[in-house]
Formats: sequence, C-alpha cells, structure tokens
Amino acid sequence: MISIKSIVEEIQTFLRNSNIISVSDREVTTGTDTFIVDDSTSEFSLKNTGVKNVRLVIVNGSSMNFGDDYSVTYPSDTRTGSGIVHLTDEVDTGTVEIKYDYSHKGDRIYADYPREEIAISKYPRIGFDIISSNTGNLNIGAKNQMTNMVVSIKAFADKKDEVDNMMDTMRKKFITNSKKFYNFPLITIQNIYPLRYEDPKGKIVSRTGDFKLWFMEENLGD
Amino acid sequence: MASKNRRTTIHSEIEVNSNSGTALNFGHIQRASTSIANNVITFHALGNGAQPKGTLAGMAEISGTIEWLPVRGDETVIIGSKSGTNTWSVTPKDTLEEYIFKGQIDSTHYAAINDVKFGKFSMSAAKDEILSMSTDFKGKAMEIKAGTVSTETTTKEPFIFLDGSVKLGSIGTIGSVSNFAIDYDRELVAAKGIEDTTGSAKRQPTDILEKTAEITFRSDIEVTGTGPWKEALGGAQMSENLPSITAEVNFASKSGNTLKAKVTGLTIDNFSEDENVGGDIIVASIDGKGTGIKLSGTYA
Repeated sequence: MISIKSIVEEIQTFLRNSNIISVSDREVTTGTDTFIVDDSTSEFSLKNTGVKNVRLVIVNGSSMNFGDDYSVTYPSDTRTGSGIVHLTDEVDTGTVEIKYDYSHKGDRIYADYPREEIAISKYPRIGFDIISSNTGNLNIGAKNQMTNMVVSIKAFADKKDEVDNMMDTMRKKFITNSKKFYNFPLITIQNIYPLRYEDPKGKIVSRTGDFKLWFMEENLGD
Repeated sequence: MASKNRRTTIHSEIEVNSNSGTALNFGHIQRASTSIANNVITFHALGNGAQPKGTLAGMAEISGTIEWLPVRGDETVIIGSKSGTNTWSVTPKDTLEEYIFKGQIDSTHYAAINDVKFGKFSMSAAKDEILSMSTDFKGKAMEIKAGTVSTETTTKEPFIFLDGSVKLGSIGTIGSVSNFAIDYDRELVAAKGIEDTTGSAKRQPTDILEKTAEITFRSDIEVTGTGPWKEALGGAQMSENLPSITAEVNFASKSGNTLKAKVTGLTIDNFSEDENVGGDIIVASIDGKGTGIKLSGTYA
C-alpha cells in the first residue's frame, strides 16, 4: 500500500542527500559507521544520535539501493534518537559501512514549511508537502488503484540568487534521478512559480516548484 | 435519497476462457461491453392500412469489446498461436481460435457469449499514458447463467511509457514519437446458411468467418529530421516503389515483464505535417499498412 510517510521521508532524504543546502549551512555532520559482521544480521543501529539522512549503505564493497536493499527507521526524536538501518537480506560475514548526516541542532530541509518567527540566520531552508493526490481504479472490479501525486517544494533564502540556485540544483537532481526512486516510479517537473517575498520587509524570498509523482499502484485484493 | 435499485456490490468481473478451458489474463481491464442485434424488421401486408402487420426477428448478431492495460501481453494469443511460456511469442493464424466470454451482471448471474472470435486487436500508447490494448469480438450465442465469474487478474504493474521505445524504418533520423497505434483487424462476419434448424438455433450464426487481416501502424512524430518525409516519398525524391520498413515497439513494466510488437512489410500510406507561425514543434502524422505482425515478451 502507498505510504505517505514513506514517500515524504524518501523525498526529504533525497533533498538532504543532494546537498542543495550545504552540510555546513544545515549544521549537520556527515559520519560513517563501520560494522564488522561475524554473525548473520540485518539490523544496524547507528552510533550517533540525531540522524537526519542516510546517504550510503555499502555491504562488502557493494552499494545498496534504498528500498530494494535497505530501509531506515529514523528516530522519532530527531535531536536525540538514534536510527536503524535494516538490510533486506541478512549479512553473514564481512563489513557494512553506513554514511549518514546527524546533528543535535535540527536541519534546514523539512517536510513542512518554516515557522514565521525563525531568524534570518536560520535560512536558507527548503520545505515541501504533498499538495494533491489523485487516485483512480486501475481495473474493473476495483482490485487495483493507481495514484499520482503533486509535491510542492519551496526554497527560501535571503538572496534571490540563492533561491534560484537551489531551485536549479533541485530540478537538475530530480531530472537525473527521475526514475530512481523506490516509492514512486517517476517524478517529473510540473510548474515553477514566481519569486515572492515571505515577509513585509522583503528579507526572505522564496520560489516554489511543483513536481509530479507518477504511477503508484496499490492492490486492493479480491 | 438512494435509489432502491442502486448496486451495493462491485461486480464487473470479466472472464475469458478458451473453449478448452484455459483462462486468459487481460491484465487491468478498463472496459468491456456486449451487445446483441436481433435485426428486427416490421412487415406489412396489402390492405392492412397504416399499421404494420407484425415484426420478425432476424439473425442475431452478438458482439462485444474489451479494453485493457496489459500486464503479461500473452493474452494477444486471441489473434493467433502462442509459443513458449516464460519467453513467448504470438503470431497470427488463418483460422482464429474460439473462446467463451463471461461478464458478471449481478451477484448471482453472468452473461456468457459462446464460440467467440476476436476480430480486431489494437495496441496504443502516448508519451504520458500507459500502454493500452483493445479488441472486439463476435460470438455465436449468448445466454444468462447462474453463477459468478472472476477476472483473471494480477497484482503486477501495467506497461508504462517510462520503459518504452518505438523504432520506425531506417531512413535517417525520425524524431520523437508522441504516440503510436497498431491495429490488426480480421473483420469478422457472423454467417449462417439456410439450414434445417429448430428453435433459437434458427437465429444463431453457425460460423464466425474472418477476413484477410488489415495491419496498420499510425504515429504522430515530433520531427527532428527528414526521416518521415523520406519514408513517405521513398527517398529524397518521390520514387516508384516505397520502402518496406519495420515498426518496432518495445515496452517493459516496472516489475520486469517485457513486450515487443513488430509490424513488418510496412509501407507509409498517408503522411501529413503542419507548420504555423506560432513556432510549434513540427508534428508529422503518418500511417501505413503492413504485411506481418509478431508480438513477443517475457515474464519477470
């Protein structure tokens, strides 16, 4: 079944991994945990708390694909909780390396929009949400459904050029990876909207891009 | 206020079996229809005045259609013979096989059409659409039976345009294919001779005859080269003989099934393109007639 939480989490992780906002601006640290495996296991608890995004999982020298090969349980408390990486197949022996970002200060990329009282020093930021979802029956007898969604992603900064640079990078990353997501087969660019000022003094500007998620199928059973 | 006649269950189950009982899997069925034409005539008689004397029912024509989004593709066996299992191919045959079509009417009854032949098979896709197929059929008899039917369905994905390609001919660059459609049409004729029959058999066709196939390929192409013009002209200048080319359509589903359709011996019949001051992309529309078709695929 389609999971909005999983879709949102995958997009959030993708945006964080894409360095659209630099690691230093996000105030996160990138670390790598190395696990030596001598007994079959598929779960790996990350050593640092405040895990934001898992960048890479390497098992015995081979890169794993998110979704097919591994999933991540992010901490419910994103400042102090730890994260767990679950491999689809157990590893008997060898080495598992997991690269991820962590921080105890928060992040600048979230699946919601910034609060108004956030200080200018806490920009640039990126916020996004699912703004529409369209589901139709895929066959008579109502056994399967097909869903398309639109995700609206908004880039905020105190400089117009910075906003446009973020939007350009985002477009480029989504184009390059349009068919490589796990929770949806395809993402395409739909609309890019005009710049707008977010506050009366015009200190923060933003631009929004809508991206369409295609062909999410669900089996409803007989 | 809800109608008392509103349906409270989802029926719309469709089942198609060969006469030997093998079920066909039509993937995600989008639409199915059945129809019966009794060919009723009124007759008159001298001295009868303005009113017709009565009505007579003629030979029944029983037909229907199915539209679906394919998942396996081997249901295209409706036009011919299938060979192979996980790696399969379908090629046309002279005499079409007969099937039984069943469509659920309510929770306890279904309509069955017996001795069905599928006369027209079409497949098409556009750049933002899922590959779809359709067919029409004629049968010899229709009856309402007690019972339920169940669509031979699948939980796997249909073929989507993400993993599709269309290749056409060999003369230069063609451009970007916006859409395509392939039709394989045997044009069925329900026939009945003058025979010694009784009861309803008097009105039922005894044979479903199939004509020689008409194979057509149509496409709109966002042109990036001279290819479509040359295909239609037979070269840079108009030639006496037009090239015989091949249209090849390839699709894959996310779950890994593949499907290929080849129209061979294809000659461009009509070509048109239109340009305007708006700076629109040049779109050439072509259609052609082929002499052969082969469908093939693999299951993941």
